Amino acid sequence: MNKTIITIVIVVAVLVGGYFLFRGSSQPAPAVPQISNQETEPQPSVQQPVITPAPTSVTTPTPAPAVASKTYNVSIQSFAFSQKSINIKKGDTVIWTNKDSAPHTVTGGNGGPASGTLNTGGTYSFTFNSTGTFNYKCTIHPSMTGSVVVSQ
Amino acid sequence: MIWLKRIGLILVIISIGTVIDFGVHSINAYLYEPLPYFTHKIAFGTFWALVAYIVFRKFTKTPFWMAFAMSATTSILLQTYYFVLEHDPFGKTFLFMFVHFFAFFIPGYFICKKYTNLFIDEKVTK
Repeated sequence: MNKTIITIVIVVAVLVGGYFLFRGSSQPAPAVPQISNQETEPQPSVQQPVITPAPTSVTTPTPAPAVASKTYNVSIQSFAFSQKSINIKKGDTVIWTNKDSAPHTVTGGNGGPASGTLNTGGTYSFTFNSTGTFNYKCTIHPSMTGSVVVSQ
Repeated sequence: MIWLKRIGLILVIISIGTVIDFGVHSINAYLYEPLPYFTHKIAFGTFWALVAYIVFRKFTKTPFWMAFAMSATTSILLQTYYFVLEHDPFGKTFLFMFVHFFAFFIPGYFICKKYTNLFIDEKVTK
């Protein structure tokens, strides 16, 4: 009988203690602002030809056609990344949006994405400026993984 | 037949413990886990609790220690698995080891006590 009472007391104490412990750590984190490391590429300067009084032939230098970088969206929903793997070109940007009720992260290594905690509705964008395969995962829920394959 | 009853009761212990654990994980968003986390816990928890029962039935004389042995073994092995999976080592691995232990121990103790004849080997108590 004593054992039962002691057990119940211990269990209640641990549950109450655990509740307050986790309650303390569960204060809603401030909303994560949209982080972007996107850099604006300098526009190629177009040199205006100098007008001379008697031009014979003026060639206007035309800038090389710039390859427009694309933006890809990956949503985080039901404890999974909507696209397990995506293939992009160097300079493209990927935007992750957390549509889950749980917080998540987008964390990779080797210069890959590192979002910090994304609360519900939070977004994170990362521009891939080097080629290779970037694996990433949610550090809070390590079973959530994804990868970005960047080619030239 | 007696083994089927034992396995069934161990399954009940782990299932109730998992429901308690689900409640704890629902306290706040940071602790939310996907559904497979809980189904995995029931399946592997039952397996490891059964292994613990088979090992410790030779040494355990009371329902209290039988429930303790099964709960401790199951929670330690499950937490080791979560650690290998790279869950947060302190919060979700170490601290939750105690949560899981008590989640399994509470139903485990009462069920082992109610079904002492099934869980405690008479030869050990003599």
